[in-house]
Amino acid sequence: MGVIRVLPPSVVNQIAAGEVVERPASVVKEMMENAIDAGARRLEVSVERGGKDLIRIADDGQGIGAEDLILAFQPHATSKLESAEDLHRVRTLGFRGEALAAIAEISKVRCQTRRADADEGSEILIEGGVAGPIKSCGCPPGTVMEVRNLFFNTPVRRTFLKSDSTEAGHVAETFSRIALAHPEVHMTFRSAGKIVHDLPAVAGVRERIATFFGRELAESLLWVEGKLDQVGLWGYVGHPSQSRSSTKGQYLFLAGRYVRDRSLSHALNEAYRGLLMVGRNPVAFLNLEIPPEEVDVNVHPTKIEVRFRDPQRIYSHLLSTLRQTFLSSDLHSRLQPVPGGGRPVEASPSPSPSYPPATVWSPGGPSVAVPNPSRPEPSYGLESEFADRQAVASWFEPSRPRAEPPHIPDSVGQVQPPEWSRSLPGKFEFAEAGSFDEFTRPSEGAEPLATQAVPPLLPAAEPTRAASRVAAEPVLHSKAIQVHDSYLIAETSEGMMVIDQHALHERILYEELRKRVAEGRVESQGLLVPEPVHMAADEAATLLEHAGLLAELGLEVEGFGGDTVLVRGTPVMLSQLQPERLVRDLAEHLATQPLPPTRDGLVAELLHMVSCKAAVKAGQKLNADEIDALLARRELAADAHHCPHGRPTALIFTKSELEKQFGRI
Amino acid sequence: MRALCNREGLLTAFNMVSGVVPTRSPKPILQNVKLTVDDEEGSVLMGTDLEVGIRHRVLGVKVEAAGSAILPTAKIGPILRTSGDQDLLLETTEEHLLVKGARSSFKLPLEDPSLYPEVPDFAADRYHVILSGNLKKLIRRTVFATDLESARYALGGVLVELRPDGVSMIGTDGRRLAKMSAEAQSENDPPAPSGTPVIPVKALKLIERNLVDDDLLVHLTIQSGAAVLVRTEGAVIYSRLVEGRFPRYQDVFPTSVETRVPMTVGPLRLAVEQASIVTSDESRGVDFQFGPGALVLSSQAADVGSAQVDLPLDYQGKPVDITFDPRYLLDALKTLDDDAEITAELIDAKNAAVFKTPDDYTYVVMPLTRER
Repeated sequence: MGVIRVLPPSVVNQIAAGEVVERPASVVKEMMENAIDAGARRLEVSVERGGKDLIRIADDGQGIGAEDLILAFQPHATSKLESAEDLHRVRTLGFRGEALAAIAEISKVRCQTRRADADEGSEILIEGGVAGPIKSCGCPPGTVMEVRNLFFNTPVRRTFLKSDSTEAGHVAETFSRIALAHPEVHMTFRSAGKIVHDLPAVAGVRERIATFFGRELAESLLWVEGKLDQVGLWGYVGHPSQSRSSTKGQYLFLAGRYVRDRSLSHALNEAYRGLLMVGRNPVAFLNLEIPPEEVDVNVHPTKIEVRFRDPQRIYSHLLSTLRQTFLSSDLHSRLQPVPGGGRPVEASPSPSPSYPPATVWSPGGPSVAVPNPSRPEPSYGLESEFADRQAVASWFEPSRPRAEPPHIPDSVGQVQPPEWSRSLPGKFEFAEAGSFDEFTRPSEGAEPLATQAVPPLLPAAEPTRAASRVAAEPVLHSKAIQVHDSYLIAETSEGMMVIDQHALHERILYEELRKRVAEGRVESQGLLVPEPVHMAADEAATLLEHAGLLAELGLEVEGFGGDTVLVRGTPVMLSQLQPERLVRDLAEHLATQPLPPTRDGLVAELLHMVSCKAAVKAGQKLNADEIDALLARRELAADAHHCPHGRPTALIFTKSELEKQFGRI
Repeated sequence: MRALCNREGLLTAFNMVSGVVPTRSPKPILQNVKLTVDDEEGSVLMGTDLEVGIRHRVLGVKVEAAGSAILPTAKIGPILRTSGDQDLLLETTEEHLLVKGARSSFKLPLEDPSLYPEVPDFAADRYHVILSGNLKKLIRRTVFATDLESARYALGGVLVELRPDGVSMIGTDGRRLAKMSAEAQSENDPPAPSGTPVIPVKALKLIERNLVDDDLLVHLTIQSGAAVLVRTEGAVIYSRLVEGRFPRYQDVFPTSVETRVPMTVGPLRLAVEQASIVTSDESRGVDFQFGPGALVLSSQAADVGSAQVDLPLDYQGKPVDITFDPRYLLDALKTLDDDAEITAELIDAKNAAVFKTPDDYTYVVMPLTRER
């Protein structure tokens, strides 16, 4: 008698459930995605005991017809797919037709649904995969799914569940991922009878970020946008002052779906190289738009992992877009308000007399060029200069980690087109900004406060004022003093700046060296006697893998068998380092990098070593001329606001912050 | 001990000896010098840091009571320099060291001379004899090429090779190598030293300072592979050898030569000095284009500028382009006479270049390579 048998459908479903439904949060994810695929504008999620007892998802989507209802709970039954070719152009969140069947197999599901054009709704009850009769019922258009007693017939699974609060936390995380991906849907989340989140539909995701992660983070976000061929990228990334110890603050959405991708995560970290301290991870909320045929989402039942047809292109696109943004941004660290001091003044609802809110903090963000009629602004009479203003805005906007003016109510009911971000063609094309020479320099981070002072939308009456501010900059640093032989304090038009002399000098040297390397004048001093260096075998192998790259940087190495590497030449600019140490450090760096480092990464590593050694140290007295020279050259460095190790080079205290600290306002 | 010392004579010796004396030492007695006065054997001032030691003869001492005294370096130096007296009386009492001039006298703390470590004397009877001027050349032309930092090799000193009829010294830092050979006579057939005797830079500089008169003879011996002793007219210098391996320097010399370019040291040095003006720490290279009739040196550094220097040459061979760190060349050229001949032996831009002079000096430099 044969021992191989075909499993009954219920076992198949339970096995599938094991893949798709790991915990209550998985049910929430599948059901919420179904609702969104059904075109819901409102979505309510409630869970009891972390979803173990009850998960209730109610939406106002298109609903299910009575004749489809029984089919919807069959495995591999779906309305989202017709043929195998469709698999490669999936635009809906789900498509496998597995989830409902799997969920129904391991819980007690009640589904009430009504299509908008139907007279009455229909209701079905399924317990452990056994469907009851379809009954008619009264209900609003849309679908209500109730999943009770999850895993009631798979006790093993049930024991694997964590505590109620832990499971509720997972559900909340799932909820927030979907809520961030679909800000245009009104979502409500209840746990144990209490409303946790009530999120009205909004145009931008910033409001939702503020809800989930706090206003401080939301206010520090930088807008990112770039389009290359058919790969679109937009969203927010955190100011370097906002970082996390894990990658949990990174949300990557692909066509409205939360995904995780190691290489894109690496690209993100790479973009922040030198801006964050080692071991810190950036915060990001990024949407990726890729033609469906360029990406395979059918890798895993939960679709959290995807495969790109051309991962390298997407990697470099992400990296270059972020770098462009940072180059044009103000990345200075701001003084964090003292405890209890409230938010920084710029976020304050009461504008200080010296800053007319309409000019200094004109509301905007990405919505600037799509003015909302409910927000009167002085810029409205200037339609003729619209193009110019738009270009100015395009240059300044990303440089302002700016708060939404809190006196403007949350845009409840003002549902703007969800595609708002792309309604501004070429809005962030950085190339065109080059024509605005007058503003180019300040916005490179040279004089960030002045940059902030120039309103993004410049009313016609203001240009003279703006011009005078720009012209006034060069003298701003003239009053710098040195304290503790380590820090420089400079007055700026908006307050004052405390600068770490070592970090700044290091940064400047680093930039200068990098420029030189970019010019390709890297010299290598040959060694008369090649120097063998012993190291761990894997380090040696990694090092030799990159021998070609290292040779470009002037370090000539070759294998000497096993764990020994022969150094034949060293870079002249590192001649003060012992070849052995240099090679060891590099090998260690290469071996511990999670992904193959780029040439830039290696260059950066080498240059860090040099610039750190060459820079003035803390505790070194500088005379007035040296201070002036250092501050003058500050403008030359592209990222003057952070030293190569990612520590900030300068802290900014705005005048209004000082005034606030002294209780003047 | 009681002796009337000629101030000049004592100061001369003191200046030589005090250079060895450490200013700070876990063994405080080393911060002093030791004076031994004896009519028969002569009076000697000695100092040591246990690595390097020197015994210097003191002239003009009238010994009244033979003996030894420990002189505190920090006090004796100023006394000798500021005193106007021709002679000073040095005397040890039960408790003090007295230094008396005509109108001044000093009472200094006394220490037990027997506690001062023995500074080895030149005891060998089998040694090399070399002309003082030649030893000076050997040292000056090699000591600059050493590398005090190297962890791998004993490059913090100069390798000595002794042959029955000559002495060679070799210094290298792994990027350039200097080798100088000179004639010498061997006395009583000294044995070839075992291993690779490397004399530390500090000792070499001390020896060089003691080589006052070029025409005098100097005795040199390697003592049981662990120390070197040099006897000049006025002093005996002892030094421990640098421990560690010296690279097989013979392998460094290229086995073939493509072109030989004869030049004169003086004009070459000036040309290199000029071309190196516009180099920076990070961009050091000077391009040497050896062509028929001329050497063209050109350099350029990112924010420094660029330079071109032409040096007419009596050379008709094939052109060779090579880049050097000019400081490496200048180091060597500075030790040579301006009117001396120097020949460059070149292969190509990647291989080591060799410079030779008729007086047996060889200087090997690795070129710089540059991504172009």
